[in-house]
Amino acid sequence: MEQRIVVTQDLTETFRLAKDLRNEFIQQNAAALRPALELLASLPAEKSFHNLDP
Amino acid sequence: MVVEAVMILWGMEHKLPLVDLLKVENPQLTKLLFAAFYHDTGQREGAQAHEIRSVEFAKANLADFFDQKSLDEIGGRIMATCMERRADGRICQVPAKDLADAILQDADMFNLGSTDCLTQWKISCSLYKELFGASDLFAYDNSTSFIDDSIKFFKDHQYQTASGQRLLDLGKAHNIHALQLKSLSNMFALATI
Repeated sequence: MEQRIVVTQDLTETFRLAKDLRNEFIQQNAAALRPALELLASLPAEKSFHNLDP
Repeated sequence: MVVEAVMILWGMEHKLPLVDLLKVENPQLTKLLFAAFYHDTGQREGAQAHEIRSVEFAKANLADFFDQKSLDEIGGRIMATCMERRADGRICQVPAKDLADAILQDADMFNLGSTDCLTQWKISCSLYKELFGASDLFAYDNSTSFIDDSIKFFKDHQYQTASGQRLLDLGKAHNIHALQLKSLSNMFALATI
């Protein structure tokens, strides 16, 4: 069985750009986002995986 | 990943190039992104009803930055990420009130149609543990019932936005197919995916 699932669209570059935008948004709203970012960073991976970097 | 997915889907739905997304202030997008950042903060105390705690946490920490109406809007967006068991037994997302809700819902389930879905299966199990109420994650994640429940969940789930469907439906179909093969063969341990 194929172990790696087929890539339907290469979103790598799109996500890289979106990640830059996310970082920009975080910089613009650092104080307001800090509580959420600190809490999410403290969660074990299985609870926060889809909030982390793609 | 959810925040990035919101940005991507928002841009596609509004025909706005991603690079221009933050160039003009958009209060609705700003609040949606805050909802995306805060929507899982309630997970610290466990998965059960975590969205309610996420709303409380967001409102407590954002009170100095938003007025009450905006806080309620952010809270409503977070609650749009809830799942519910319908009368027919299907586990589905709650109905989206508008396009912004639909974008956040699709972003929250982005991984179902992504290539990371099954390669991150072990940690993805937590989602399905939450959904199906398995008591022992590691006993469950290698079982046929887990795979079959997952297939059912993947099939029941529908991306709400046209962009989500265009971008992710095919990937989800591939993931369903892979799970069906897994269910049929039942020979490989899930840890090897």
